[in-house]
Amino acid sequence: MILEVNNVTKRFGGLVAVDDVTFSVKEGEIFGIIGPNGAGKTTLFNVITGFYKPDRGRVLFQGNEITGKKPNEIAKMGILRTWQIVRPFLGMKVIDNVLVPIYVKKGIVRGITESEAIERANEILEFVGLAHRRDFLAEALPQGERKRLEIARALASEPKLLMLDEPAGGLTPTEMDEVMDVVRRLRESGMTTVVIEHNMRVIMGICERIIVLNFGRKIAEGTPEEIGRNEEVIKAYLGERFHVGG
Amino acid sequence: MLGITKDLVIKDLKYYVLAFILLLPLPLAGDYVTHIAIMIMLYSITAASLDILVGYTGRLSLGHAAFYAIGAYTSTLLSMNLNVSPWIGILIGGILASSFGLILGIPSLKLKGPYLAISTLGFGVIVQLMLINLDWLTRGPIGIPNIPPLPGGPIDLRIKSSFYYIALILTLLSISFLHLLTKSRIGKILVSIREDEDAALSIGVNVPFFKIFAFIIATFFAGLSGGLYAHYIRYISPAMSALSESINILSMTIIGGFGTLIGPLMGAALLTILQEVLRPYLEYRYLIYGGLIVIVMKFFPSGIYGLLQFIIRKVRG
Amino acid sequence: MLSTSLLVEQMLLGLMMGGIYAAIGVGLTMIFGVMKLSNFAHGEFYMLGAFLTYTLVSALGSDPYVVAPLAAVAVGFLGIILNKLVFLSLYRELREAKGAAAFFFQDLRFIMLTIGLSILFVDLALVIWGPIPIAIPSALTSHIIKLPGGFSFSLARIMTFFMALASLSILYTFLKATKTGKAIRATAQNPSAAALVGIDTYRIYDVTMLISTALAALAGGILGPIYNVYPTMGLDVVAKAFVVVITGGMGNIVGSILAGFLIGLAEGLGGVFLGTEYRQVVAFVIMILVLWFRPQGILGGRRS
Repeated sequence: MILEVNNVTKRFGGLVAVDDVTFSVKEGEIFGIIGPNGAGKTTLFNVITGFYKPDRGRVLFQGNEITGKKPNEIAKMGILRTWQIVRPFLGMKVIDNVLVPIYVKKGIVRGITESEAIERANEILEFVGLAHRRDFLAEALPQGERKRLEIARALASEPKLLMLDEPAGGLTPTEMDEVMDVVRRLRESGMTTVVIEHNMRVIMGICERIIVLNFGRKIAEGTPEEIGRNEEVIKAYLGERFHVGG
Repeated sequence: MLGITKDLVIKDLKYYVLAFILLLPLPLAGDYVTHIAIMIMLYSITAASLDILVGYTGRLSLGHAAFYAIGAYTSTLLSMNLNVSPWIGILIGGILASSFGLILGIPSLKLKGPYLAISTLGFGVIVQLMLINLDWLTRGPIGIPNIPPLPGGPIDLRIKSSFYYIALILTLLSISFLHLLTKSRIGKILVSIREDEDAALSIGVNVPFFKIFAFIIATFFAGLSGGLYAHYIRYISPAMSALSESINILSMTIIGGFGTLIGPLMGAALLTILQEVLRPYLEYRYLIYGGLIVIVMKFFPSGIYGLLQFIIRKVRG
Repeated sequence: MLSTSLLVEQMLLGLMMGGIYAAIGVGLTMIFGVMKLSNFAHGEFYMLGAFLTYTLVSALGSDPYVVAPLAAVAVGFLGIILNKLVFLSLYRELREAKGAAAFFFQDLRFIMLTIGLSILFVDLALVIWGPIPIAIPSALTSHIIKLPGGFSFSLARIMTFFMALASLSILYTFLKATKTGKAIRATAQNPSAAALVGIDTYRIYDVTMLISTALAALAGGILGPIYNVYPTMGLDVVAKAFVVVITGGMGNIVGSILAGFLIGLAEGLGGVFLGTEYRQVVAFVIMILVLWFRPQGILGGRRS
């Protein structure tokens, strides 16, 4: 198990955002987290990546305890994430967005020469299909490309576990397919991915196992087919349209 | 060093050399112009150093003059009380200023926006009050006159044109260092912090470390230029740490165009020249100064340099 | 060596000054709470209130305490004019800013603009009224009131304190009980929601600016008879105003009121124990303590 989340609880004042959640992620799989709005999915992400400290519970990464570690330490250990509302470094060029994590990962002063860093950055941009935008300022990019840039930035840190928060949010179906394609290709090279998603098309399309959160609690776990038939899950989504077709 | 690679230096070296050559004949224009030029250069270093903090790392400081004053007083007191050579004194002034920068930088890590601004403002005021009240050391509000000049061996550095060349070399060295820093890997990391702290954390950037780093570098150069000022003007007072002085420096950085390093240089030049040109208008001086700031901020918030870049882009089509 | 009567006297004086700090701080915190803007020219409204009061007193021959509210209203309208000319357009750009860096840019832009205004106003005052500190004459300055315990204060001081207190109470009632007051609180909490329920948010911004600047101007006007009035008096007070705002919680009006009195009191005590030179440091020490231990302020930030 590359990631183990054990009995994690996170409260904000009186509100319990994440309530005793436990699950594990196998190395190399694409794992989904779904649930209605406000179910605590992003909070869970924030706990795992170190932006929040859980009130109870532990998080283990490759067997090592990472509960309560700082976000940049966790990133250096190999967990990288993207954000629900995409946040690339808008005032920097696309290539610089990817270079910064390379510097941080490989060594700011020594560790990698500039030409090696640039080569690596170009490779990553090619992989996500943004090579033609190299020298553009990130703020010039449309939403879909910004999402891919954020993935590229995360990849540049050589993640062992990639966590994507609603990668399909706000995208057109074509853009969505492009993102799903990137995730599948990553899996082929052995990447473990955890995805928060609303969009059933994406979830059904790429996830191998899923957990469902509602009001901070885990209410179901299984394959997409199992989840699709699960009564509690359907009840939780009642009032929301349950798209299988996207 | 510090992520500034040989390639970076070589790329921009021609500009620094060109600037040096262009500025060489300036003293021919006379002592008055030379004096203005020296003041512009000293302010350039301070404004550029503030830009590293404000423009590149995104940390607003309203107390930068305090470090300028700390550098000035350190060098002065060392040279007058302990007979330390002003050259060393200026260096120690910079180091002491950056030590205070570290002291201020650590607790301010968790502050942002107006909280950070006001706490730096408070720091500047506290330093000024200390300089006024610790009069057994600092001679209080009257300040310290007759500061020894920079020793130049056979060259008398009290002569403005001679001091000018020293100042020119030191300024170019400082500015080019800061400029290279902004182009370097560390510079990009600082910008990533300005752009989005949390995103930077999420890719492994040690944000607290680099915030402090920016503070230390910025305050070091402010202290350095303060020391230079002390041995040039040869009179210092606690007013150097006043809020109005911090605002003066900030104005140069922002009117010039923050986050560009070149912008603040232009700002320093413009505002220093403006203050000189407006001197005969005595009381109306600050009406124009204040009015200029308001107009620039309303219509050209990216500053003079931003405006220039905009014009160049339009001309290019 | 410390007489209790000196202590109490300084505490009372400090408390009176605290009322002034509260009045200035409240306006500043309102601007921050409602518009999320840090107005560095705030001290200048205080200063203009004082000078305008002086001018009205000279022209009309009346007592400053009568005339100060008029001056305050005039300065309040100046605030609205500034709103329409410069502040509101910048505010719009701040609201539309996407991303931390863009927000920082607009925020810095506004701060710098108000700094420019501050410089402008100070020089304007210098040109119009000259650099020499002026005392505003009042009949009340010569009336000495003897309080139990042997303390005597001029009626002027007491009047200043009373008017500061009164204006704060009126403000509090206004915000709690009137329709506009509630609209202001709603806008401070959530401008988009407020607009959705039909509140004219831009009118609210004007009203907020009016109240904020008028209060500061009033504080200046009623302080004039006690202390001297000079062009840079706003600069001397603006840092403290921000300390009041941070200590009370940014956007928290009750907090600023409490903080104002607290700081005034602490300064009074500080003056006794630390000597007059270190009096000025007291406010900043309090601020450092607040930022270190309770950065959201004594009552928490962003509420009215």
